[in-house]
Amino acid sequence: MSIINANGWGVVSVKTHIKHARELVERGLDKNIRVCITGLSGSGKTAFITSFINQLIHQKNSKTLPFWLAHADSRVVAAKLVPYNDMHIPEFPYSKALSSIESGCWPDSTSNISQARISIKYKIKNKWLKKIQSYSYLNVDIVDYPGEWLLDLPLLNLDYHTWSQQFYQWASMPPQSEMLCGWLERINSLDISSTTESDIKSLSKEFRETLRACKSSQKGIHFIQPGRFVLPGDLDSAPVLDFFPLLIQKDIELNGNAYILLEKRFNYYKEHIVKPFFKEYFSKVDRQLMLVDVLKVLNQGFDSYKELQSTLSKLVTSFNYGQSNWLKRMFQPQINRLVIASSKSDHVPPDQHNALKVFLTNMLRSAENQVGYQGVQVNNLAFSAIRVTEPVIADHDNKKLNCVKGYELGTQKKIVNYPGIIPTEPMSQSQWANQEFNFVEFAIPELTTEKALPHHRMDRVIELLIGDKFL
Amino acid sequence: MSTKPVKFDSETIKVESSEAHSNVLEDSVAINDKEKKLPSETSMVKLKPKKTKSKLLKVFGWSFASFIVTASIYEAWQFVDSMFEINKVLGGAVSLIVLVTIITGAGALIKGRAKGKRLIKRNKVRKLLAQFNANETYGKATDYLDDVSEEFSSEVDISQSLALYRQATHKSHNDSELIRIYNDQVLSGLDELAMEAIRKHATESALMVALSPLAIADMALVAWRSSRMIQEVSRIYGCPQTAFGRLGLTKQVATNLMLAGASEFVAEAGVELLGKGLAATVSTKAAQGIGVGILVSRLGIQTMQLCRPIEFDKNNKPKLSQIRKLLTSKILSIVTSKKEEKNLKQGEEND
Repeated sequence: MSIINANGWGVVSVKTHIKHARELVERGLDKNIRVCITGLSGSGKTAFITSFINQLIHQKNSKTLPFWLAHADSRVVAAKLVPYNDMHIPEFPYSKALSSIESGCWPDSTSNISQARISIKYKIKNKWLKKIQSYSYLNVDIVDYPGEWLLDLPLLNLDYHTWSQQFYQWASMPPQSEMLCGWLERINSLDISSTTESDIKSLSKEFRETLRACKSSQKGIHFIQPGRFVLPGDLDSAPVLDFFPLLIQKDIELNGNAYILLEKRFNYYKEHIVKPFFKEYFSKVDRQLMLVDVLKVLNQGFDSYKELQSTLSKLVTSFNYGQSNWLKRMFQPQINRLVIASSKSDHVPPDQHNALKVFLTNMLRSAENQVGYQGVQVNNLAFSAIRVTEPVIADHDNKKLNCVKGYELGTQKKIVNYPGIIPTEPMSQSQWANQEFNFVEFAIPELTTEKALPHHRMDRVIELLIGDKFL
Repeated sequence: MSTKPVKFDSETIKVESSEAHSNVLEDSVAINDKEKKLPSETSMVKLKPKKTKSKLLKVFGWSFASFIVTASIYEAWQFVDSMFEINKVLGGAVSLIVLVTIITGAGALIKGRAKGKRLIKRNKVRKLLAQFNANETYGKATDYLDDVSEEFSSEVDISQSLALYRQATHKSHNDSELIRIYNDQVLSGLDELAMEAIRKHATESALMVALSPLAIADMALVAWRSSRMIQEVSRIYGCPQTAFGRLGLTKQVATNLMLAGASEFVAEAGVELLGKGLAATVSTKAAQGIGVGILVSRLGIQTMQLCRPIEFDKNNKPKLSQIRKLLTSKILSIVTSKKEEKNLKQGEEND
């Protein structure tokens, strides 16, 4: 029996080895490509993935993809959704998202991780490869996950003490200082030596609620750490979430202190929640698309702008191995292209799309610089995954204004909006105060999902992300 | 433009599609997105055309021309007058001839001028479009592109590619994107057509030179063929040139060939000479033919550059190497087959 067993295992292991080897070869030949979509919650990741899959599936009759060069050359034969190998990850709810779009609602915000794999068959152009085979395929893996969790990434290279320091420094700055002052009072009056475990539990609960309040406020607070505190996923009410940042004097006797417990839980959270998550989903990433909702920030003003700027810079540099180089050591990722894109460009009159792009570039200049220094190709773009407005020209005060027309989200009234001028130069605080913006959220108009969704510059995004792989 | 945001109710405000009024808008985007380049880079600096001669020379030119014109008018007048003195009928006939000459000449000149204007206009449009492309403006290029399409469609049927272009574009595309799509959808077809014409004329003249027994006739042949080719290529791009205009175009092409062609020439020369060397081992005449063919195709490509409303970029710049290969293989096949025939004949005679 044992021999048969051993043989059986042997066969299985050989098979899996062959499978692994084949995957490795295909990776080497760039037949599989993993695209990572980063973006804070509400930046349009789900809408993007839905539109991305949709454009690829409907590419056959699509006339609106002129900048996807392989498609313009009529080299793309077919594309379809295929099952992927990581079977423990739920499938991306493409059809659900699509039917939601068809019924006029934006897809629900993501609360758990999911994945999709699209296989694209194409005609080979390279004159040497063409001699070996005329057709090849490219598998594109794309992962959707809650944007809130992304903010745990910078936690990985912090210890509890520095994290607490960072947190209270962050908490003292606008716009979040207002929301957090209650919590700050609470923590300042806390006597750590007499704190029991049940106190910690109730304090943690309060802390999580404060963070959630920050999240749901309209003040434009982005850097809400730890991410699972706002969106616990399957960790709801697990003891690992029962901690909060705490600053204490160095000379206090720590033995048997509640501080030790907090630090332990923080480290556990880091090691067993955050690290596996990023190792699982963000290692082996080849291309990264970072979605930024610039319009919300413009609406919310200077403080929110600064907050988003620092948040995104932290994110970008931690992905792309800035000075610290720690992620590289851990996972050896190979991102060689980064696209930083402003989604929802259709909410902006078309003559200002370039300004939108320039604004984004200005905002993330230093982060881009760091990434670019690593030899990563960085591109900026303003696009919209699903176009829900039409550009129009309105007469106002004897002037012609470039506006956008669409259904306002919430009221469902048809409106024509002129949002103000997006600045192309970095602005000072007082300039920010003088500037007025009114970017309206638009609803999805009636559209059919039988054909490709209307989009704006999705073809350029596709080309930038995977275009060079169509040999 | 006001900076305050405004939100209108769709019922109360009158709006129009943004395509119609595209160029009334001020553009809010300044030139700032261009990647910074060192000012020393060649694309940023350009040699200005040489200032025309000294003032003295200018005055001389004008006075000389007016002297000639006055003298010829006076001569003609005297001639007609003397004819009248001889016979009234003869005088009438001669003055009629003079009148017809003047009218047709002036007509041809004006017509040629009007068509030649298209080329000048094309030059301006090309510069403007390059500017729009670089600055990623919005709504300015459409009118120019439509104009150019109209000029194209007077000579070539581009309705199908134009329809594809219209399908691919949307009101929200900026000028740079429109220009690129236009380039890919409409102009690439015209490029192919033009290249076909160039290939045809280049091989023809190469063959003629390779086969012509008279060296002096070569020059005339080349002049004739290349002139025909320039006419055809310019027609494909919607700015057909009459005899007068063609002269101007030819001059421009030649100047461009000398100015811009130098670097290209260096790049291609090595290979060209190699091709020539190969041919020269077979026959000097064939080598001359290939050389002439390449020259003609270079002229053709320069003409394309002058007539295109959008500059070539790195990816779609036509390459000489393909034409060279074609020429070499054609000429070599003819020459070698001739030699074989000779050998065969000799062999038969020997038998």
